[in-house]
Amino acid sequence: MSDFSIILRSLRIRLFSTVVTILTVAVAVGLFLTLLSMRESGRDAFRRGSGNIDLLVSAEPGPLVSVLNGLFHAGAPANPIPWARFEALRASYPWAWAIPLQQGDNYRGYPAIATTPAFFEDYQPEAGRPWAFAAGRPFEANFEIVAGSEVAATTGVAVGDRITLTHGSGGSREDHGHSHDEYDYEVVGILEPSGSAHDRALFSDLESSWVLHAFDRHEAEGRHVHVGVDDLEEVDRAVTGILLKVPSRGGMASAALPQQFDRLRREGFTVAQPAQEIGRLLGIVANVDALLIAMAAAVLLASGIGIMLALYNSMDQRRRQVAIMRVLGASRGKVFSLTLTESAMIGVAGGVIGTLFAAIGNAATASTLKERLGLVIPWSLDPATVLAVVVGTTILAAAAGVLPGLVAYRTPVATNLRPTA
Amino acid sequence: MPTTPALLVRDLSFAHPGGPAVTIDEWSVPAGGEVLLQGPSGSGKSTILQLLAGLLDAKSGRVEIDGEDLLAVRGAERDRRRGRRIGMIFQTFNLLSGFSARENAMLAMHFAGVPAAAHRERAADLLGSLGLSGNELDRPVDRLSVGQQQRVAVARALAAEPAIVLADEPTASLDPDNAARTVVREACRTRGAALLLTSHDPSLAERFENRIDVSTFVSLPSGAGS
Repeated sequence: MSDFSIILRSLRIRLFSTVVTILTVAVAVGLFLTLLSMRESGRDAFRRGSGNIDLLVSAEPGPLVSVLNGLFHAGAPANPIPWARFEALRASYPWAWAIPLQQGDNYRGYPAIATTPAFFEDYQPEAGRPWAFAAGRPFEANFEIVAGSEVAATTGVAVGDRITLTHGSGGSREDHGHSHDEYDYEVVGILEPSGSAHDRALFSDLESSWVLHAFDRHEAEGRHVHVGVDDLEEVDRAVTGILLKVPSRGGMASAALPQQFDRLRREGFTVAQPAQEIGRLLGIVANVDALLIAMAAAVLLASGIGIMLALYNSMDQRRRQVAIMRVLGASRGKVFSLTLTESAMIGVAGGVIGTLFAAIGNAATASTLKERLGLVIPWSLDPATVLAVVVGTTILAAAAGVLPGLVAYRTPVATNLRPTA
Repeated sequence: MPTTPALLVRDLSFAHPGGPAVTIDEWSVPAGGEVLLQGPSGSGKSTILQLLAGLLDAKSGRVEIDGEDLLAVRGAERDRRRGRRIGMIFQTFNLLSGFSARENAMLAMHFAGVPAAAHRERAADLLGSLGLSGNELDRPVDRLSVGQQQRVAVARALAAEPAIVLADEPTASLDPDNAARTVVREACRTRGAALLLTSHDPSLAERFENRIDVSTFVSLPSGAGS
C-alpha cells in the first residue's frame, strides 16, 4: 500500500464524480490548447504565406494592404503599375529575382493571379519548400492555368479541363462580375497544398490576363473584335505587384535591402517587407488573441473550481474516512497531503486527457480542412508549451485541493467515527 | 527482570465542559494481558479509550504504550506512535468502505510505517488466520458479511503488531453469543498483544480475570449516563 494506491482507490470509490471532474478539466485543457494551437497555426500560416521574398512592391495605399492583397489575396489591388515601370525597376538593381503579379480576375470566386513562370521556379510560398504539383505541370503557354489545391478540391477542376475566368477580385463567391467567355483556359496543373493563401488561387501567364482586359477595353470603346497577344498595347500591359528578392550571401539577406527599400519608396512605390507587415498585423489582432486566451484560461480556472467543489462536497463522506486514517496513524499533514495530491492527480489526468482531446480534435479538423479546403493547419504547439499547460493545470488542481485539504486537516477524529458505544 | 507493561497510565486528568471528567492516578495493563473496562453506555468508556489513544488531549499525565509516553509528543509523531503501538477495534468496525479486506489491513501497516513490500503477504496471512481467504481478501468490505467485517477489523487492529489493542464494545449489539469477543481475544493472545476491552455487558465480568469499573476513573456531570 502506498499513498498513491490510497488516492487511486479513493478516486475509484467516487468514480462518477471523478470521471466527470476529470472530463471537465480535460475539456478546459483541450479548449485552451486548441486555442493556443490555432493561434500559432494562424501565425504560421501568415509567416508561410509571405514565402521567400524580401520585398513586395505595389502601388497600393499602404504596405499592410499591399501584403494582404498581394500575398493573401484579401482583395484585388486597385492600382496598376505600368509594365515599363516594372522593367525599369527590374533593371535598376541586380535582383536575385523579380516576379510581376497581376490580379483582377477570378474563377468561381477564387482569385486568378497572372505572373511569369519564375513564380514557380524562384518564389517559394514557404521559405525552403518549393512548389509541388499534385498533377500536371506549371503553365508554359498562353491560356494555360494552374489551380491551387483548395480550388481543385472545392470546384473539382482537373488537369485537361477548360475554364473561363470572371472579371473581379473574387472577394465574394456570390458576386463574380462579368465573365470572360470569349477566352478559355486549359488547366495544366494542380498544386499540392502549401498551407498558404495561394492554395485558394489560380495561376496563369501575364499576356493572357492582359488580353482579357484589352478585350474588355475594346468592348467598352464599342469595338467588338477578337484581341490577341499581338494586339496588346502599352496601356494593357500592367502589373499590380512585384515580388523581389535581393541577392543573399550564405543565406543572409544583403545589407542592400534597406537601401533598396528606401530607394523604391522614394521612387513612389509602396514597398512592404512582408515579415514586418505580418508582425504589425499580428500586433493589431493581439488584443483579440489575448481575449480568447483569457477566456480559455477562465474556463480552465472554472474547472479548477469544479475540482474544489467536487472534493469539498465529498468531504461529508470523507470525514469518517479521514478519522479512520487518523486512528490508524495518519497525521493531519498526511490527510491534508493525500487530499491535495488527489486533487493534483485529477489535474494531471485532466491535463493529459485534455491534451489528447486537443490533439485528436486538431488532427480530425486538420484532416477535414486539408481534404475539403486544402488548408494545412498543423498541430503547432511545441512539447514545452503542452508540458507547461499540463503542469499549470496540475498546480491549479492542487491549489483547488487546498480548501478540502484543510477540511481534512481539521477533521476531529472522535466525533467523526461511527458511534462507538 | 520486570517486563514493560503494554499500557501504563499515571496522573492522567481530562475534563470536557458538559462531558465526563477522567482522573487516573495509576493504572496498567501488562504486556500480553487482558483487561475488561466495564460500565454502562454513556459512562465514559469511549472517552477513556480515545484519551489512551491520544485522540483527545489530556490536561495532564502520562500514557505510556510499551514504555513510550504517547502524550509527551504531539502532532505527527503522536499519530505515528499510535499507528505503531496501538490497534483499535470499534463496535461498528469503522472499516474504510470501498477498500478491500486486504487493503484495510494494509492501510494500518502503511500508516504505521511497515515497509510496503511486506504489506500484501502479511495482510493475507493475518486475514487467513482469522478465516478469510481467496476472493474474500480482495472483496470490498461493504460486500462482506458482518462476521467477516468484524474479522477484518480485528486483522486491521493487529496489522502493525501493536503492543495493545483497544477494543470498544466489539460487536456488542450484533453478537449476543460473544463469538466476536472470542475472536478478538484469541487473535490478541496469538500475536502477543495486550487487550483492553470495554463493555456495558455485566455478564462478561466472569470471563475476565482483570476487570475494572469505569466509574473508578470517570465522574459524570449530573444527569449524564444511565
